[in-house]
Amino acid sequence: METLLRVEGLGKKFSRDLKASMKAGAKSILRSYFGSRQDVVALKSKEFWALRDVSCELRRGEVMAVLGHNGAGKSTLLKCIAGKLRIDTGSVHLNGTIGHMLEMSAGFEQALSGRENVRLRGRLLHLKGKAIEKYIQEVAEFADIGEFFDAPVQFYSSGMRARLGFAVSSVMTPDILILDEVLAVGDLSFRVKCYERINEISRNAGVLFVSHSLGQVARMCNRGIFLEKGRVVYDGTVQEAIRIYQDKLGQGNEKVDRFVLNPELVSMEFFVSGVKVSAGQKVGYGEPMVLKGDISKLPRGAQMRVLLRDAGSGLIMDWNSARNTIEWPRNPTHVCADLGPVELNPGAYSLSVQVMSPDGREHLCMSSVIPFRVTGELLYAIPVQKRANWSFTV
Amino acid sequence: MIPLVLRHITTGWVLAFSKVRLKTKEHALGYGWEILTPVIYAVCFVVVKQSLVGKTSIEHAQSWEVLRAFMGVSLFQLWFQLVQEMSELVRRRRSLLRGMTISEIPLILAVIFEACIGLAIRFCTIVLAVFFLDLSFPVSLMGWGWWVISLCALLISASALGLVLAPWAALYPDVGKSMRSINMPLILISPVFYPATTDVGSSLFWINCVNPLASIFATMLDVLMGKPPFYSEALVGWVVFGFLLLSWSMYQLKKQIPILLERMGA
Repeated sequence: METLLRVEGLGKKFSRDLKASMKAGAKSILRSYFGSRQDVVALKSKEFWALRDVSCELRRGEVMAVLGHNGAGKSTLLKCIAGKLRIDTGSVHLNGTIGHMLEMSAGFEQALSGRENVRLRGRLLHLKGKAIEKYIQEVAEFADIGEFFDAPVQFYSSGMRARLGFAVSSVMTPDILILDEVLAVGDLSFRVKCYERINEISRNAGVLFVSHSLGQVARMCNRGIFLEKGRVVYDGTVQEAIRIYQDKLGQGNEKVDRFVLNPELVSMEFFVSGVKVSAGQKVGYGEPMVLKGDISKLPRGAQMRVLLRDAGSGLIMDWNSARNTIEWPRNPTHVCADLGPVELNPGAYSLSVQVMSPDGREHLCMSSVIPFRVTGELLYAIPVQKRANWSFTV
Repeated sequence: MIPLVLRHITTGWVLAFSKVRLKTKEHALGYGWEILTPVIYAVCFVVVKQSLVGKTSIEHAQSWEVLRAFMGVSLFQLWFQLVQEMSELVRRRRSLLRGMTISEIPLILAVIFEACIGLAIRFCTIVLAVFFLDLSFPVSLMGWGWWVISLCALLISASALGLVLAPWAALYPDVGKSMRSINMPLILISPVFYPATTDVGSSLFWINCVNPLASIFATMLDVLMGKPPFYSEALVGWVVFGFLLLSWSMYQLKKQIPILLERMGA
């Protein structure tokens, strides 16, 4: 496949100090009068490398995910490739036209209508006559914002801006399309439309895609790189890039102290295949999980919730005792709950127990979390992947 | 550079017209401001002048002074506006520069073309003022030629100085403030409210040669009054120097935009 983009030894540094940053900018401007860029490898006071020695390639037909935690350098990398930031070391070689959507406003004039903005953009892309009318028509159809297309952009909602921004960036079918967190807004139907569009573009182009939504990444990308502290630590399949991302996220999750409330009221433990789950333990897909605990200090009839969170601390599922008809004995000392098999995609998760008053209104207790990892084959990036009993009729 | 400029002429016009459309939408008086300010200045000048000399009507000799004040203020306003617009080019268009992969040349051309529209409006008002004050137009083709050169010098010198300042104005807001602070001194050292000196030995003559506006105003008025242009050499010098400075700054800006976008929070 033809290489559309080659990044070699790219380095980009920033300053944490505004005054120093302005001074560096002034020096760069002065230097620009006298010649070409020289690689600047030394860091000055309060400077740091946002990207360091980054090398990668993008070929036609590839949709490459750029993964990494906040501050890893994903957006900086995309901006350097798009030529919006001056690079300090290395080089970026482009072999084709580039289209990008790096921010929501996408360069729109706020006081002009969507149609006027699209026309202006078309003219800036040197479209004329019927070509520009076709371009406007295609953007209007794709954005699908109805009468708002003729209203000033400043009155658009964030979803409408995203629609118009994505439409103007993608309708022209560039050789390289760069998308940075652009599908975080917009409703489901539009996002589905965008996925289809990206798939369509990627047949004859290369796409660079940044998103924290692993579902989107797993669904759309066929390659991934993982950035950590400005360096590429992995370049290969998207599944492996996601796995590393989750792994690193899990490591961070295990170090964080979560909110607890009256933890002395309950003493709960989780067991997987009969083995007690400890922090960071690896659990295989499908292994049975059980909760056991001392509830002697709890009021009779208290509601118990087992909370399952993903590596980003997002609550993905709970087991609530209020869903069951439970007959509490007179003086119970211990409880045991069969939570079923661990039907989770590989990644980092955590479990905790929340206890509510019998009427479900008052928080009585929130236990500390137990982080664990699920191992196995990653299939897309949907956290809960249940098994079903499949049967056929002939 | 010239083929690149030619390639972007149409897009430059499109951007200029979109700006004009915006201006007319956002301002109640639209382009009325282009005429209003110089008219106010000229009226004030007439009233003050008449009060000082104790006369109630404008005499023929005074008409030239009124025209000089009106024309001077009108063109100074345009020149200064063009320098400001050009120097703020990167800051104002940063959203577009971030959002699209486009050359900076159409953006520069758009500012110049918009100034051309403003210049056309002012030219018409100056012509009307000449009629109104019952003064004469240049009779020779050469005279009109000097007018054209003067107007070109106005556009070129303002664009060039503005573009040289553009990267610095994007980095430091002080540039904009300092420009506003030299507004009044600049109009005072330009031959707007008094005639341009013809004393080659005086320091004011050399200040007028260095001042891009002085040679323009002096030449335009000399031609209207039927005199040979006294500051023609300085005027031609500014056209050539301005053109070279403009071309060089346009070439530099391409390299400077990523640096500026980064400092402005790209």
